Order: sequence, then structure tokens, then C-alpha cells
Amino acid sequence: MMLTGNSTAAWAARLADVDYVAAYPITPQSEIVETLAKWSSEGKLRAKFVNFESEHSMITAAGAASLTGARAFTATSSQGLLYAMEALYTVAGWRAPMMLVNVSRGVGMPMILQVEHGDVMAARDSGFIQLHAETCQEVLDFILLGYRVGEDSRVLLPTIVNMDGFVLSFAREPVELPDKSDVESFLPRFKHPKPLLGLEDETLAYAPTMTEGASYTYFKYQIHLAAQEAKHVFRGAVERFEEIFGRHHDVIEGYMLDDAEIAIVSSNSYSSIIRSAVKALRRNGYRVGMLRLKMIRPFPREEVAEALKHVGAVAVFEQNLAPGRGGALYPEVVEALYHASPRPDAILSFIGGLGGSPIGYSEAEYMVRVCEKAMKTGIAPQGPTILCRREDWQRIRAALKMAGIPVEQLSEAIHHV
Amino acid sequence: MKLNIRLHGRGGQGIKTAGRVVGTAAFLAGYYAQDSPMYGPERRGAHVSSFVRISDEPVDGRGYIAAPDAVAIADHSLLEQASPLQGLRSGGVVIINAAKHVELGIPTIQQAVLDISTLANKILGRDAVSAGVGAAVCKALGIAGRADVIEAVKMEMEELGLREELIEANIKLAEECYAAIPTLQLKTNEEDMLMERDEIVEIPATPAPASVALISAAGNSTARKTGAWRDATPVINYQKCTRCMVCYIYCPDSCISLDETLTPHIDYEHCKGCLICFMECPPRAIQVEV
Ligand code: SF4
Ligand code: SF4
Repeated sequence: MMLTGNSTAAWAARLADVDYVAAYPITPQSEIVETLAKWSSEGKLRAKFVNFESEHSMITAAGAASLTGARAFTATSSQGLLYAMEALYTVAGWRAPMMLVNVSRGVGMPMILQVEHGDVMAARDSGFIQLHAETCQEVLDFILLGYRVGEDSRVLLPTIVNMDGFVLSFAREPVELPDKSDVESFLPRFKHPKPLLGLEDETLAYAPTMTEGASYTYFKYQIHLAAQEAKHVFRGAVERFEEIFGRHHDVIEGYMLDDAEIAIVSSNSYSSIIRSAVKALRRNGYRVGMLRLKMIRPFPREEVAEALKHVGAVAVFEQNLAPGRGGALYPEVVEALYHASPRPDAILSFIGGLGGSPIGYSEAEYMVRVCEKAMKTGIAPQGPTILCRREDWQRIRAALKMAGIPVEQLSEAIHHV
Repeated sequence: MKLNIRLHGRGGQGIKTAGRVVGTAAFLAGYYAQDSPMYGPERRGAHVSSFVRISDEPVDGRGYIAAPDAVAIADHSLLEQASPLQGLRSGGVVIINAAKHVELGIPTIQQAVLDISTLANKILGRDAVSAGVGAAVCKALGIAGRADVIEAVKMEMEELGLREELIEANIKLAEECYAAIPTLQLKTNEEDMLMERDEIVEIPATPAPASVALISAAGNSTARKTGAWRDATPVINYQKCTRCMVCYIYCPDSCISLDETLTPHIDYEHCKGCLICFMECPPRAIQVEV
């Protein structure tokens, strides 16, 4: 079936037979909750569908529903995710295994509707498990896997499944929708080990726990341990997933890495572009491969180290930019490799594809050539290297000129290699 | 087969749906397919494009198609306004919705022309060309047989929630376009892709006034040619016009100016065809040309 990323997410919620959908619209996510709303009104979705006045209450409600033992689903994007940020920490602290689909979009200002991962990266320390999808099929698979892992009593944490706005959310491609019965056997009804339900024979009292240092540390550290455990539980889940659905998943994906001299690290939908560029670079004689991060939280550091320790140089390609720092994932990759032996001579940071900027062969080749130069000279470029096409820079200059900026006085763009 | 197609049209013509018709038809014909639309926050009449990738292996590209094998143009006035042919590969095909052959001055590009708008106006009563463009692209590029194309049109029109008669009319439009357009032989070379290079540069630091996304400079909104959005044109009949100035006051985009005799003049570079002037003109001195 040909489905967009958004409709695939809706299908995944329907197949997972969710009990509760909390909704608030935002471009480029709205199609997900609109589809669920339609199905709900047609009786095709059993779940209780509730509209909210903001993302903050939407996440809180989904988390609360999840604590009662309901399978809860919600979706947002960009400013919506940031507006809900406090609630993300709350529901993760509640250990509520709800599902949040984030459709990545840059966070203004400047205003943008297209993809940038600054939104989902801001949530990386919230306690949510994070799975980042490259294809529509992965959106479906990760939602099913996310529920299975999050609801496991060894984990009991919420999950974010991320997909790129526009490039994946609005793109249609073939998706295999599994049989409902297969989904049921992979994902039995959620049973919360200690549901917040005032059953007839039970008196229930619940209040937010006010802690002090030691107990705060205890609870917080348990979230961390559970998040780490999620990786192992994921491993088990993907085995069962493959048995039932025939598709293989792992926390990372290596492509042409075996004899690679240079590896490009990427995530999400632009990995499709990097993969085809790697194929083309190979034909042009470059020994290059790709490492794709599917699981971002917990960060799969052992797997990353194992996959990359033999290469000469690593280019970490990211679609987010933390001012004053650079790419959010770059230090995580560096840290994963620091104690590895052997380890790459150079690990460089590249930022591109911001706001949905297209990338292609040229960007991949440029990253590889900057890596080659760093290996040869032993000198790494300062900070992240930003990927911009000369024609785009010319367009920006023309726009600045129109806005009355004396562009002749601006410095020229630099070309590294 | 490995085929990258870019479709261009205007908001309201159904370019997203045309792309979906091609994607679905290719899928039904047994190919891997991917289609995605691209549009900004603009409105009806604005330039919209859609991308379709078709392959016998899983599709390996995403997003914008910079170097298509084929381009479809649903509104030929875009040729002057939006450079829809940009990046079209040598040996590639352009499918144009126009009454006759358009002189493009590019000998390496093959052209298939069909007056889809006239057919759409005849069958559907308006310029909704999605089914026609989708069918024409499928036939011109040899993507899918008639049955798959009709099935794809049916599926996509149902997806839009159209009434039964409208679905039937769209199928009719698709059938006529499919029958009328020839199949051309693509002569693009896949290996060309490796030759395409853009120079990558690093953006320099610029001083604050130029680097904040709050640039204030007066008088540059005229550089945005909103006239390109127009799909209906108001024309003043000066015989009937009483110089009452009502249109001048009502035009939301200040596209109507008055000369020294208080005669109104419409600036067609910026008039976006909202037809408020037409609605407001007391003696009905403004006509609409489609
Ligand atoms: S249609 Fe009339 S009112 Fe609307 S923009 Fe054009 S001139 Fe102005
Ligand atoms: S509103 Fe009609 S009559 Fe009045 S100035 Fe405009 S065109 Fe003329």
C-alpha cells in the first residue's frame, strides 16, 4: 500500500489498537491526528479521541491515561514539542509508556515548516526512548517496537518515534501493513504492573512525590537504568519482530562499512540520500560507508564504537545546530569512540539539510574530501562545517541586497577543499 | 527502470494528486515508487511542485528532484515565471499542458503536448487537471498500462472523497488524455548523475543587522510577483466605469492605482485575482477573464 509517513503513523496506532489518542494539530503533523479523528468518528478506531487546548496538557493527559493501563498515542512537532517539554519530563518520571510521534520541523525563529532535528534533540534528555525512522515502513515498525519496549516492565518508559517533516511525513511509498492478528501477538494488551485505577476493593491515593536529594537521585537514576535497559529489551523485541513480520531491525545500521576508510554517520530520512551518495562515491573510487543511528536514546555507544573503530575518519552529518556547540550528536559519537582501540584518526562534524535544504552527491563527496584532508594533514576544521551550496549563498546575498544590506561589505563564502 | 519525474503547476490544479496518480499507477504496475508534494505557506494559484521516483529496486532518493528525467508542466505560463525546466537531463522529456508545441530552444529535450485544460473544462467544467496530467505522464513515459492508470485515478479520487459522478468524470478525463498523448523514448543516462556537482561553501559570519531574521527594509514587497498566483483576471471596462474609486479602496493588495483623472489601473504583476474588486464595483464595470 502507498502511504505517507503521517498516514503510516496513524495506521500504526490503529493496528496497535490504542485506547487513548490525545490530539493537538501542528504542521507537518496534523494529518496523523486528523486521520485518527476520522477513523474514530467512523468507528474504525476504538480509542477515546480527545482534543486538547495545548501540547502541554495533551502530553500530560496521554501520560496519565497510560498510567491507568491504557495504550496512549499522541503526536506533535517543533514548537509543539518544546511547548510540551516540561510535560515530557513529567510523564517519563511517571514511567508512563505512552507513544509520541514527533514530525521533525525546525524551531523558530527564523520560522520554518521543514525538517530540522533541533526539536527532537531538545527532548533527548527527557527520559523518552527515541527511535528515528528513515522510511515510512520504519515509522510503522518503530511505533510497534516502541510500544513493546516501553511497555516492558523492565523499562516502563515513554517513546518518541521521530520522522522528518515533509520529506517523510508527506512522502508516499510502499508500506507493508501487517495483519491485525500478527500485531496482537507481537503486542499483547498493555498491562501496567501497578495501574492507577481505583478498583472497587482498593483505595487509591496518588500525589506528585516531593523528594529531597537522595530520593530524587534514586528515582532519577532508576529512569537512567531503565533507559539503558531499553536497548537490551529492544534487542529481544526485534528478534520476535523478525519472526512475525520478517523485517530485521537493530539499534544502528551499517552500510558498506566493512572495508571503509571513511564513514558518514547519519540518521532519519536523509540517510536514504546519503546511502545512494555512498553507492555513487564507491563507483568513483572512494572507500566510504555509512552508519545510520536508528536508536538515539538510549544512545547505542558500544555498537557505534564497534562499527566505527576500524575506519580512518568519521564524518558526523547532522540536521541540527546548537548555537555555541554545533551538532548535538557529534560529541556523543566522539565519546563513544574515545576509549575504543583502534580508533579513527579524525572525527569531524558537519551540519546540513537544515530547514529541508536538499543534499546530494556533492555534500557527501565534500564531507569525504574534508575528512581525507584532515587525515592527511592531522588538522581538523574548527567547529562544525556547515554545508551550503554556492548558488544558495548567491541567493541569500541577493535577498540581503534587496533588504538594503550592503552585501559588498560582507565577507565571501569559504571553500575548504 | 529508474525514473525521476518533477511536476509543476499552480495551487488548485491538483499537482499533488497528479503526482499521487503517477506514483500509484507505477506501484500497481509493479514498480517501487515514491511521491511527495512540495509547497510553501502560499495559496491557490501559487507555484506547487511534486516529485515522483520510480524504480525496479527500492527507491534511494528523497526530497527535491534537482535533475529529473522528465518534467510535467500543468500551466505553461510557469515557463516564464518559475524555470520548471531547470536541471532537466539531456535526452529527457517534457510533458506540457498547452494547445500547441512550445518553442523551448533546447534541442536535447523531447516534448509531448496535450491541451489537458480544454479537456478538463469540457469534462469537469473547470481546470482540475490532476487525473489528466497523471494519465498523460504515465502514457508519455511508458510507466503503466491503461488499466493501472484508470485504477490509480479511481483510488486517488476516492481518497479525495469525491462524489461518484466526479470520480467517473475524472476517469473519463484520464482515458482521453491517455489515448491522446504519444509514448516517447527517454534517452537520459543514469551515469550522468555522477557528473553533477554543486560547489559547497562555508557561510561567513556577517554583522548583526544582516544576520538577524528580522530584516526591516521598506518597499520591497513589490519584488514578490504575486500576480503569478492569479487564475482569474479582473478587467476594467472603462466605458462603464464611473470613477467611483471603490475598487481602489477595496483591493487588499493595493494593486489598483488612480491616475490624475481618477481612472483606476490594475497592476497585473501583483493582482492575485481575489476578485474583491469585481464583487465590489457598483456599476459592475469589472469583468473576469479566466
Ligand atoms: S482581483 Fe482586484 S481586488 Fe483582488 S488583487 Fe486583483 S485588483 Fe486587487
Ligand atoms: S469600482 Fe468599478 S466603477 Fe468604481 S472605479 Fe472601480 S472599476 Fe470604476
